[in-house]
Amino acid sequence: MFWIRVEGERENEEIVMTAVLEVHDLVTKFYTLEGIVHAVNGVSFSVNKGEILAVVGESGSGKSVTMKSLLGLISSPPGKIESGKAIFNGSNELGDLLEYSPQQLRDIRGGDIGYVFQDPGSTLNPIMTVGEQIAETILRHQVVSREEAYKKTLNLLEKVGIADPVTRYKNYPFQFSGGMRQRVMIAIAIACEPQMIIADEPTTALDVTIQAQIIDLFKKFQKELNIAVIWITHDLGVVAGIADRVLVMYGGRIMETAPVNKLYENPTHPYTIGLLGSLPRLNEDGYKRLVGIKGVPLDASKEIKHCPFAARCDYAFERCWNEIPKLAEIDPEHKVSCFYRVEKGGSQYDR
Amino acid sequence: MTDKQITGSSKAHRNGIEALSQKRNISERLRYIWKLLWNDKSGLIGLILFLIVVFAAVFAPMISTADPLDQNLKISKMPPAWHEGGSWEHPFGTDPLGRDLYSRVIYGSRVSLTVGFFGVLIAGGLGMIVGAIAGYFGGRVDDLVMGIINMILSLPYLLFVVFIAAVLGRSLLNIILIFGITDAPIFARVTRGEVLRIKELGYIESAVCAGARWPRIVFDHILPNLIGPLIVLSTFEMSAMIFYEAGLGFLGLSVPPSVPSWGNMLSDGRLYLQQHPWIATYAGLAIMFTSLGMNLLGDWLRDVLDPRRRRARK
Amino acid sequence: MTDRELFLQVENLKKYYKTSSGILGRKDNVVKAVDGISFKILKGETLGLVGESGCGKSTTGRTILHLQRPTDGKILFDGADITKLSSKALRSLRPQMQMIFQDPFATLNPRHSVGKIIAEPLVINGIYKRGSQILGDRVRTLMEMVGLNPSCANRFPHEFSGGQRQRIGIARALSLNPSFIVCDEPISSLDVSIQAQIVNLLFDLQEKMDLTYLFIAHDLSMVKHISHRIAVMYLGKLMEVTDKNSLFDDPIHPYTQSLCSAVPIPNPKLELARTQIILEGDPPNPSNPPKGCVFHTRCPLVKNICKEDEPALKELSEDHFVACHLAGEAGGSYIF
Repeated sequence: MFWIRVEGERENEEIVMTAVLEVHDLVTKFYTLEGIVHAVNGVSFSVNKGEILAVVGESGSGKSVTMKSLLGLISSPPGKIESGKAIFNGSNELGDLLEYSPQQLRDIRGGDIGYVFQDPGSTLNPIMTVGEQIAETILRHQVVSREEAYKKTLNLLEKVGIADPVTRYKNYPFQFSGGMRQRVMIAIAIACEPQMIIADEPTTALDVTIQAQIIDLFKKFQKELNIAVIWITHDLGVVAGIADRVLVMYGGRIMETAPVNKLYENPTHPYTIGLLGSLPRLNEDGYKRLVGIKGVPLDASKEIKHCPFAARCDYAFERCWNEIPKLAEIDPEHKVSCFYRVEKGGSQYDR
Repeated sequence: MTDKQITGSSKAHRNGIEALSQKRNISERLRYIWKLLWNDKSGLIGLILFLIVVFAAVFAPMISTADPLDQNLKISKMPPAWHEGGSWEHPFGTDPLGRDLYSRVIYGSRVSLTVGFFGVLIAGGLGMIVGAIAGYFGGRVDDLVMGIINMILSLPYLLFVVFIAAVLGRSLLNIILIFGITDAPIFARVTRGEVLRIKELGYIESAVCAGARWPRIVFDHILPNLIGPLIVLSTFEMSAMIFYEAGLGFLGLSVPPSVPSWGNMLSDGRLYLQQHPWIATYAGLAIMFTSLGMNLLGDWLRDVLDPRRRRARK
Repeated sequence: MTDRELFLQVENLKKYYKTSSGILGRKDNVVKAVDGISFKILKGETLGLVGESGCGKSTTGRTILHLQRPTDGKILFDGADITKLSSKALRSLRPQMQMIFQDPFATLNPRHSVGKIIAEPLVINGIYKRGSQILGDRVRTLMEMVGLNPSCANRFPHEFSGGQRQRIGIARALSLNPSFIVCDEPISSLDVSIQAQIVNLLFDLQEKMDLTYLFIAHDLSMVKHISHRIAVMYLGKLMEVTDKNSLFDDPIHPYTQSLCSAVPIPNPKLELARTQIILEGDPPNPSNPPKGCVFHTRCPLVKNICKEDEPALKELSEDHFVACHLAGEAGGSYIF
């Protein structure tokens, strides 16, 4: 394949890492007519300044709900954040997001923390011009005149790669294609120079060539503005291309977390291995049968006191059914919650 | 695009009718309905009001205190029992011809419910067939049918009804027919819209792929999906018909004057609103509560049966 | 590549949609969803049809099965042009050509039990009587074949997970013993781990029952995995058709090249090191396609001829078709 050249290891950069966000034991449940949904069951992680953390999981893993809980985007009722701490190192202060009042959260959303949604079609206001929506964010969070906001908006539009910003400022969302709308969303997210952006499956709904454009854009910004990014996705290919560290979630818990190279070279949790084995590789010839993961996704309406992955795991033994495994470090920065791996020292070469 | 399953819950269902048809037995279904009602109290109130009216209509002879047709000019225009000059023999008083108002109100429910029920039956039946044909076949058939329907709907409704009633004369059957025919276009339009929506549903396409022909598609797939919206529409239209019957009665065009109907009672009491307001009032209250009850019930049904009520969570 | 015989041939297939704009609906806008494509499918193979949204691949699948009537073109099957068949003849042909749909939630009637859904094609075509023992047996066999527990035949679709619902759809498609199945994005709405299960199932079924697939998808990695040959579509036209290895080892058309380079590979070192060809701009509106080569507005190699003349699909090397004016010049491939 002529266009792929393997050049070498990713260079180790000496950056002082300071955590922008530290989440401890987040638990979120939904109380619905049909029963209680245990969406997030004790999630702890941290995000460092200027790094891209990818959160990977399938549907029902709780990845979206986790992030939405941090920003007060869970409608309550029926949702309820039962417990947990989320310390955010904002530009002004250090505080627990989960303790903030709605007003404080409103100040943070779009200000210190930007949010990029999955479907830009339904999250942009269809009756406001695109320029106004960006300017509105700026005016909401910064003390500037309308003139300045206008200039900043034009600047942003250019930065996100929208040609002819003066005309485009006055256009409405329906006059943009999906990829362009997502660029507008990114502009809104970075408008106030946030410390962190949470991107919830930002490219899932886009075509693959447009996805490549958007990922390129994100990487550019992240470097320029040194913004921390939490990138939620189910696509392990995208993760490989963009992440610094990875969080793998299942059943509302974290199964594995590691720096990206370590995760792909040495996937430890059976779920991670299963996910990687489910992927066909573009760069491989011949036919290797996909491994897949047996069984069906977890039913989040039941509260379980054992490893959520036990039913689908090839290595599950007695302990897996009686206790919930905790995240344990097996390598610097590489943590896994699995009895088989950690306690029993099992390796993927068994069986 | 990831699986849009509701966080793995296997109990997810999309709307009330589907949920009901998926419950395994009667008691599960009743319990589910009760849970939905309790959640939305206005629906419960609507249902209660509706049931009261039905009860009154069914058990009229047993709960009325007198014969509604019994005239007795000696006690005409008697006030209700709690006023001076009233008696508990005639709790709501009497009308100008000495007939017991309470009993007439009770019996009036029979007329109203009959008109409402059969009117909706005819309108619904006609409208559904016409609308389904227009929606399913589309194209020129649709254009033609909708053209006719829109023409009918653009006529001023009340004038139209009044005109026909005046021409045909006063009888229960006439009223039912009039409402049935004039309301059919509304059912037709709603049915057509729903059929257009249902046609886009994926399983219609798979039925076609399997070789199904249009009768099977219509009966097995389209009609069952129409039940929900049509039930909702029926409750609202029934409420409207009860209202209009009252209106016609007030104008003297409804059932014959001796028959106890709420509209007739309004008409009877019109001249006496100043001095003997009760003659018209109780009938008016009855109309109001019945309509209100049916509208509340219709609102609740619409919330329950609307697929957009589905709450998707990730 | 083993020698296979011709199964289905599509010649110059066109599907245009009229959308009316304007108040009186008289100003008709034509969307050329499929604009003259020709390809063949060999018996027992899987032809992958890829492209991004709006390229017309789904429409192609539906038109071949006559769920939509083609505007023009020929579809040769078993020696006859099926576009010319009467409704009745078409109906008798349907059992041989079935479809697996994208959204397993929407394509199963939520009010029917799973057993009823799978049995429906058999009942419709009068093969078995509803409620008969033999019908029940066949339904159970089908369920086992697709990996479902036969005792669940009385349950309703919502009681199953997404992957299981897709299996129900597959069982239904198999019930009439078809020889050809159009798979329209059958795994796009499923979780990754479940996608693998379904793809493996499709593979096994193809071997067991000698099925021929048209696999429509936008996920290039998955298409490469399951297909023998691949056709790339863009805005209603075919850009390149060849066997899967040639497509990825030696893509000739510029669109194919950028498509291949844009697909994420789950390998961080490779991702970091690869050079991506990132296309500028957005795909044009299908109701207003560009003149000449439909790809010229985004093509990094565009020349004048591309803006005027539409390139024909030419066979450049054995079984490798490309529609590009510039192909075959510099030895058939481009290095950026």
